[in-house]
Parts: sequence; C-alpha cells; structure tokens
Amino acid sequence: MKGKAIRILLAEDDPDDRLLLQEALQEGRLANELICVEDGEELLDYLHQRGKWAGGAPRPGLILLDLNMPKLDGREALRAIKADPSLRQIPVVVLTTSKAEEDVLRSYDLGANSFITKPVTFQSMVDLMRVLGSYWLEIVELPATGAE
Amino acid sequence: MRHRLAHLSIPRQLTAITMATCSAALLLACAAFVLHDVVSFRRLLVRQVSTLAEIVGANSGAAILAGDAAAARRNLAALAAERDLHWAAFYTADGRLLAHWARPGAGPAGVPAAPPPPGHRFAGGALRLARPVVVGGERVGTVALESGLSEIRSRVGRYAGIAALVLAAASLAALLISSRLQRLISEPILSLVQTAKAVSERKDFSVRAEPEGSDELGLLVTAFNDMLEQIERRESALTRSLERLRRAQESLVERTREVERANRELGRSNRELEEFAAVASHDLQEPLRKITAFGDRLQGHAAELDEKGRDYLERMRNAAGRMQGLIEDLLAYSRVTTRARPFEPVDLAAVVEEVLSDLELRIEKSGAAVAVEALPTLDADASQMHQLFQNLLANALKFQRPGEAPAIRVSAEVVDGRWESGSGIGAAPVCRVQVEDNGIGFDEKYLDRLFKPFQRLHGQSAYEGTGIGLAICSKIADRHGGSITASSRPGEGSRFVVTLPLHHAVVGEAA
Repeated sequence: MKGKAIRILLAEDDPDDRLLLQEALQEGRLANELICVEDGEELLDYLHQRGKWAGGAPRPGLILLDLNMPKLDGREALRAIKADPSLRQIPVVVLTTSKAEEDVLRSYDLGANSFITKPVTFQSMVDLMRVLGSYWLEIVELPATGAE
Repeated sequence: MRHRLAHLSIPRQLTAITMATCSAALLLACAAFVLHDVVSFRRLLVRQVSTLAEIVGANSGAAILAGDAAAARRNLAALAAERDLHWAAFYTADGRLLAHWARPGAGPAGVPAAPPPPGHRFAGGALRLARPVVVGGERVGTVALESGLSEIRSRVGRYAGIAALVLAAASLAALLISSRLQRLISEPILSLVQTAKAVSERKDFSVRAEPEGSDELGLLVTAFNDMLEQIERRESALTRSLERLRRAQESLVERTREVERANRELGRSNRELEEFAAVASHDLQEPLRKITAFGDRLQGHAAELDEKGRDYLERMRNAAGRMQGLIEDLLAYSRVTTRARPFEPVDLAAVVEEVLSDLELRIEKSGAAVAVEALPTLDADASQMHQLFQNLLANALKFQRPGEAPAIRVSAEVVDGRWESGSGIGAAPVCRVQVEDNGIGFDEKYLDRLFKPFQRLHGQSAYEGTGIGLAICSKIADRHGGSITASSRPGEGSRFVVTLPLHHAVVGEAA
C-alpha cells in the first residue's frame, strides 16, 4: 500500500477553496486523485454510492471535511460517517476557517482524526497538502479495505 | 415590714395596716383605762382601810392606854365583817403587841411582833397600813391592818374581759370599714396596674386608666395617662418614619434593580457588539484569505507581468497581509471577553517564564537582557495573563533604541489598595506589576491614545504592528478589576504599570 497514492475526498462548498486545494495538490506534485463534493448530503451520497454517485464511487482513503456547508453541514456528516461501521475507518480531517475552541472540541468528540485551520497563504496550503500526504497517505498504517 | 407585706395584694396590705393600727390604739387605750382604774381603786382601798384603822383606833384608845388586851381584842374582832381584812393588831406606845385578830386561814405572813412603820405599803399582794392611836393629843399606841387585794384583781379581770370584747368588736368594725375604705386607694392603683398590664401585654398604647379624684393617686393616674399618650404619639411617629424608611428602602431596591437591569442591558449589548465584531471579523477573514491565496498564485505568474503590474501586486499582497493582521488582532481583542475563562490562582513567575521562552528567538536576536524579579500568585485568567505579558514584553523588545540592546526589568510589589469591578468595590491587597525598558519611550501626552485599539504612535515603516497590543492589555486588566498605565519620556525608556487585585471574591467564576 505504501507509496501508492490514495484517493482524497474533499467536501467543500466553496469553489475557490476547491480550486486552491486542487492547485496546491498539483503544486506539491502529489499524485493523489482529488474528488470533490459540495455539501454533506452529497458526501454521504458518494460514500453510500447513491444518487449522482450511484455505481461509480471508489472508496476514498482520506476525507477532507469543511464544517460550514449548506444542506447537511460538516458536523452532521461527520457524525453520520463515524456512526456507520463500514465508513468509520476512513480518516476524516476537518479543514475549516473556524478557530473556535468549541468547533475543535466538538469535531474531535464526533471522531474527527485531525482538525486543521485553513492556511492563509497559498504556500502554506501547499505545505499542508504535503504534510497530509506524507502523514495520512504514507506514514500511517490504515486497515486494508475491500472497496479499494 | 415592707418585706413581709410585699407578697400580699395592695387591698390586703391596706387592710392589714389599718387593722394593726386600730388594734394597737385600742390596746393602748384599754391598758390606760385599766391602769387608771387600778390606781384609783388602790387609793380608795387605802382610804377605806385607813378609815377602819382610825375608827377602831379611836374606839380602843382607852383600852390601849389601860393595857386592856381583852377589850382591845374585842374591838378588833368586830372587824371580821370586812371580808378582805387579813389581820389587825394594836401595839403599845413602846412597841409591844398588845392584842391582835387574824382571819383564820388567811395569808402565811402572820401578825408582826413589832409595829410596822406608820403609813401604808403594798407588798406581797396585800395592803399593810399602820396608824398611831392618839388619846387627848398624845400617842398611846399603834393600830396596824392588812387587807387583801382580791377586789382589785376581780375588777382588773372584769376590765380585761370588757376590753377584750371591745377590742374584738372594734377590730371587726375596723375590718369592715377598712375593707370598704381601702378601695378608695387600692382601686385606682389596681386600675393603673390593669392598664399597665394591657399596655405591656398587648402593646396597645391607646388604653387609658380611669382618672379618679385629684389626690396624689389621681395625679398619678393622670401622669400615667399623659405618659401613655406621649408614648402613643411617639409610637405612631416611629411607625410613620419606619414606614417612610421602608418605602425609601423599597424605592432604593427598585432603583438598584433598575440600575442592575440597565447594567445587564449594557453588558448584553456590549457582548452583542463583541460577538458581532467576532463574527464580522471571522466572515471578513474568508474573502481575505482568498485574496491572499490568489495573490500568492498570481505571484507565481509575476514573470508575465510588467514592472508596474508586479508593484501593484506587491502592494495588494502587503495590504492583504496587514488586513489579516488587523482582523486577527480584532478577534484577539474581542476574545478577551468572549473567550473569557474563570479565574484561578496563577503564578505570574511561571507565566513570565513561558512568555520569555516564546520570545526566546527575538530576545536572542536583539541581544536583550531581561531581569525578572519575584512575582506573586494571584487570581486570574491564566491565558490572559500570558497574553498581557506577551504583549508588554514584545513591545519592550520591539521599541528598542537603534544600536542599543534592550534592557528589560519585570518587577512586582503587593500593596493595599482600592479596586472596583463588576463584582463590587473593595479594599484588598493589589499587585502592582511593572515592565520597564530602555527603549525609545513616548511622549506622555499620547498616554490616552496608547491603550485604545488601533492607535499607533509610529508609522508602519518604522515599527510594524496594528496598535492593538496595549488595548488588549488594558482590556485584560479591566476584566481583572485592575488597570494599566504607563510613564515615559521620549528616548528614555518606558515603564508600564499593571495593577491587579490579588484575590477575587469568587474564584472559578468569570467576573
């Protein structure tokens, strides 16, 4: 598994952030596939291969989750993922603009694996993707999944 | 007397006094009568016996003169009719017992052998009397008689009986009369007592004793009533002023409540304003982050721009960076109250040590010498204390004089002081912390501006910063019921003094 680029699923309603993260991934020369969904509902649809994603939704190796999203927000989506025995092994990294302590506490309470505040500069975003890549995608040993 | 009577009621006392007085007077009167009677009866007895002696003496003068004892004895025997007479005797002129008569069975004191001295004498319950017998102007002998006093005794006995009867009757009469008359005195007193009892038991000052007569008791009752009236007046005046006081207190409480309401309202709108600032600056951050990020991306294409374009891009990115700083500071400023933590004992020495380790790089770079003296432990929000010293020490490092290494001194003293905060006003020990430096200093006319948010004394190019640091310090000191001030002269370093109460009434609760 090591060295093999895993799929990253990004749940983010802001198109600018989706673009910036995509570019940061490229800038960091990371070969990971980035799949984007725009809200919590779509995230769950993807994971359960429903609606728009019925049939063609490969299981991600990492979920990057924004907290503030329309329809179903990141907190509710996080709760649903961590309550589902078939999904709860997927690491979820909360990536948000909020620095509020209660958001940090609540996210970890709900089972988030990391809580990261969105970097301000593009360079630090690139650095973040690099660190995320090396940590979650190379260093950490994750259970093998049938869906892969 | 007073002591023994005190347990009796007033009517009984009065009756007892009257009875005692009457009895004493009657006893005295009876005794005087009896005495007088005894004395006058004795006189009468003496006269009677004396007359007997004179008669028998005159009748027997010749017989005595002749020494005819038998004749003399006959004469004496004639006296036997006098029932009280014990004996009678004749003595010759030379003192010899000539003849005598004695009642058989009479007293043991027999007839004396020698004549008793002339005159009379009461002795041994009997009257003994001696008279000279004179014939033709010449004393020829002596006649002596002794009479018993049984008559006197029976008279005295009768008198005593009568006196006892009179005494009993008089006492009865006195009892009846006094038990009626004592009411004249006791009734007003009893009525006074009733009134006093009613007043003390029911606290009813409107009752009055019934006034009777114009004597001392009447005066007493009137005076007592006057007193009650005064008390009643004062009582009602007191009640009225108590009522006024109560109303004043109520209105004070009401005013306090209003002030508290207004305070709460003010606190609420303050909080709302701060929350608004927090939310607004958070939301402002979002697009700014994009400006910064895309500015960074554009920088990657800088080569495709001309000189002017690159300059514009650089200025834009600088401005975005400054705005980011401003927003972060604004958030930090509003967090002093919106992210306030409860007070707990905080060791300032440990806080300063942490801050110095955070600033280690800058201290090394500037070659600063930092001297930290003994610092106390006080009730505070630990993270805010950290921020306070972080800002003060960072300033001391930042505003250094060109070409001179900063010398910073942190010291503290504990003094008695007055402090005011939301939780009240108190006189309690306060801690005065000083942070002194040898930096560029400032003109004290700017002191007011120094602690206001976003007020700067220097241009961006000289010393960077948004001007929020000291405003945050001031807000933190304020939240801790303390204050901050500074003294300085341009070019001569500055001294910042933070005054904080050592203790808070309720530790573990945000003030």
